[in-house]
Amino acid sequence: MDKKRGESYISKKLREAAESGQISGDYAPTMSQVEIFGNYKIIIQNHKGIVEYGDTLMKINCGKNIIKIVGTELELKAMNSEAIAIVGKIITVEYIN
Amino acid sequence: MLLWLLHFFTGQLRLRVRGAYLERFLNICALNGITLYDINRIAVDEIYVFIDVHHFKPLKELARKTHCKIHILEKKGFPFMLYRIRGRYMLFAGILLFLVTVYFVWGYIWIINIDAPEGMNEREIIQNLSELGVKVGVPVKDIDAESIKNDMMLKMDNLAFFAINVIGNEANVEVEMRVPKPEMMDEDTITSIVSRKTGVITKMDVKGGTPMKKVGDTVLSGEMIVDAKVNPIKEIDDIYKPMLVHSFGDIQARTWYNTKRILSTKTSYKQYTEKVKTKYALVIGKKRINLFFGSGIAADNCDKIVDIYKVKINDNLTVPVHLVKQTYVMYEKVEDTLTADMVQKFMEQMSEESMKKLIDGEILSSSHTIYDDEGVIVLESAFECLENIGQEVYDDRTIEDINQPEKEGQLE
Repeated sequence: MDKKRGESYISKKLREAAESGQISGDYAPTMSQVEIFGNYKIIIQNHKGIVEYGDTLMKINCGKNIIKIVGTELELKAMNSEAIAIVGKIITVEYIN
Repeated sequence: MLLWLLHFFTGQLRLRVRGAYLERFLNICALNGITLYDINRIAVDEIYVFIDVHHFKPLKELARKTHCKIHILEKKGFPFMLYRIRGRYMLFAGILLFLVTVYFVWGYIWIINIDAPEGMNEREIIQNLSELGVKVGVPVKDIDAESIKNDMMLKMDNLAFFAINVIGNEANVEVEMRVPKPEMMDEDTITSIVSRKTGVITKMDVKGGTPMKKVGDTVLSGEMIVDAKVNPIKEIDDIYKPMLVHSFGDIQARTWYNTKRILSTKTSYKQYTEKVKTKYALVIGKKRINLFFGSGIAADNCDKIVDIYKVKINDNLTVPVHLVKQTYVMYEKVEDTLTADMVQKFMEQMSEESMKKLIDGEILSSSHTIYDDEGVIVLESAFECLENIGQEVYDDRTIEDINQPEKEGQLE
């Protein structure tokens, strides 16, 4: 077990394979997945928590990077350990390493 | 919709969370498996959030750890609703009664509709169905349509088709009557054709046998028209001998009838008075409750009209409660005397209808004479008809009988 990252050896190898495009991201259980529906809804799976929360700016920790969402009337529709659903008028989605 | 139902039955709480580290609070909640819905940030240090009821206890502990204060704003869902009405026993009794009623309405047969052709004895069908367990008030699940069909077909010989369909709380029975097999005459049977009526032959279409009469001849009732004996065309030697055949054909003749119809001049009719009585009764399942005193038997001088009002939820679901309305319309009998003019048309029509039933053909012409005769009206009718008068009859003669030399008979 990789103590620093909190993931097993197999998970790490799968994530690396998914990142290099050898396999689909679905097979990497620790890799975060972002689904964007038009400009009104974003679902982020395998997140690591909220960094910043506001109605115009949201930052979600995805482990290796942070997703920055800028928009208006942003709202957390639902949240649990596996996924976050954000609704509102989305303007930009940005990855911060 | 499904999610809404789930939240409704499990119950939801709307909370106000205040604290300096709200992001941390949200992250910890998510990490501990608490799902948060509709998170709404009101201020920098304040959010409104929905959670499931069973997550409230662990959430309180997490709020304490993150130095946040929680306050319940709203309680929604079925558990809270149930808690609010816990003391209203009559409401629970009503709900229970409703559920029991629904069970009885849906689970039992309350209506049996029988679709039978004219001439079929519906009472016999109902009685046989009752013996097989299909009657009002039996559970729907106890009705095995296939076995009832088989049993009914065995019980009633005159059935050609039987089906029972249970839809809702109604049993629809469809019945078709067996058409009796017509009497078939064997073509090898030796028959002759005799006249059923007295008349003048207008048409002969003989397909078998030797015609004894021709068109224009007068025949009496019972007289032979076509003989079963057929003589050979050539009588050269013994090979050709008379033989007996099955005679058949179409014999039409003009026939005449004289009939007499008598009708009494004294008659009575109902003159309705304005007096009308109405009585009501309630039928619940198989139990009848009269909503009046005394009996519902009609008196001599009144007409009883029964109307049944059924409560239907839809086409196939009937509530087993009927309202029976019995209306008694009073009348007085008024004596009257008929004259020949008044009843002439009626009597002529009746006379022609009975004549049509009597003959196997059509009426060509008719003439009527009507007169009063000591308290009765007499209609004398004369009909000229065109009808089929040929009737096949068994001929018991044998080949030996017809081939005996005529001389022997003459000697005797």
